[in-house]
Amino acid sequence: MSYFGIPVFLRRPAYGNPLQARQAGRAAVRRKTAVYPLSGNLYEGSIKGEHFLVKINGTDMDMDGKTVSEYLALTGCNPKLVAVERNEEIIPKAQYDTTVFEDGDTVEVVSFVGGG
Amino acid sequence: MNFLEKENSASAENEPRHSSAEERHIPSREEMQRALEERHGVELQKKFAAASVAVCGLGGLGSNIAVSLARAGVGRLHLIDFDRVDITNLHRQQYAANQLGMDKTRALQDNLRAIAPYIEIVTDTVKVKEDNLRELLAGDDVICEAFDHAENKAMLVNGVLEYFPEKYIVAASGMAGISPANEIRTRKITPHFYLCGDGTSDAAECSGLFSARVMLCAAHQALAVLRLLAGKTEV
Repeated sequence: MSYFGIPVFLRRPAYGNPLQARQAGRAAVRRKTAVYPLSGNLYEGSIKGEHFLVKINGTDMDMDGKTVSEYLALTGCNPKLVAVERNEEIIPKAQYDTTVFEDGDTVEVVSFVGGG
Repeated sequence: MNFLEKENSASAENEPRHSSAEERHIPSREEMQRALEERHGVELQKKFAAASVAVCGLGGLGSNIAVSLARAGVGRLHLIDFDRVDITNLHRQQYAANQLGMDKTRALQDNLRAIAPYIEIVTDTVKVKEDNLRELLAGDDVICEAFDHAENKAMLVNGVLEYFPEKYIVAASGMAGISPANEIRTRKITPHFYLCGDGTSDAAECSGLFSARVMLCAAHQALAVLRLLAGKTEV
């Protein structure tokens, strides 16, 4: 089934630019429903080559598909000094290797500093 | 030994308003309760009195948090620290010069008793670790992270949020140095995780810890606790 072969009311929007894609991602998080994954051929061609974004500490980053451990290694964060929450839930340390960031995730990595 | 005696001996040289500590009037439980109700309102005071708050780490943050919460009439304070009072603590922590060498749990308990004689104070003179925090904190509603080292802070925050999803943790990161007060703020990271501080001022990199700035951060934490007990979850 090609994209143009399905009725208009069944089509989901093909996000033409990253901003629209991000907004759709956020809306998905709010609704607790998944607009993605973009499997099958429904969107084939319309989104090819697009990067989907994860908002980490307020900045959109191209980390879709990366694990928490990969992100921490890439940014030089010591896993022993952080707490990581995704969409308002803490990610247990034991799951850093297996938890994959997905498009539309809002993530906060708290890096603790000393003093008290 | 405690604040009352110290104050008394100092004033004895001048015009003593009271002849001795024994003759000093310590208000009754009912009087203390009435005074708190007058200030906070009966309903709110009931919530404070019914709460159990753990303070993990009794240094510059923890000792100041505990004093604030004791004054507010929080019903049960759980004080946890393995350390003893050292001369380098006196510039920012709520201990007296005649308490050097005492366990911080014991010294702070004495000082809180002088402020709030009728609240319940439970102490644990242990180091909080990943393998004992579940047992240690099971009876507390809100946990204050008031450690010194970043690794311990992260350990406690992760542990509490993982093991006790129903509890609240109020943590601190970034209060060293002498940067402006207004950089210290309270953030809500998740519905059960509040974080106070400027987020960046590391004690190892900034030139020391200053009482006023550490107290600011402790006050943020104590207020976050009181707001949570009052059912106010926004920051």
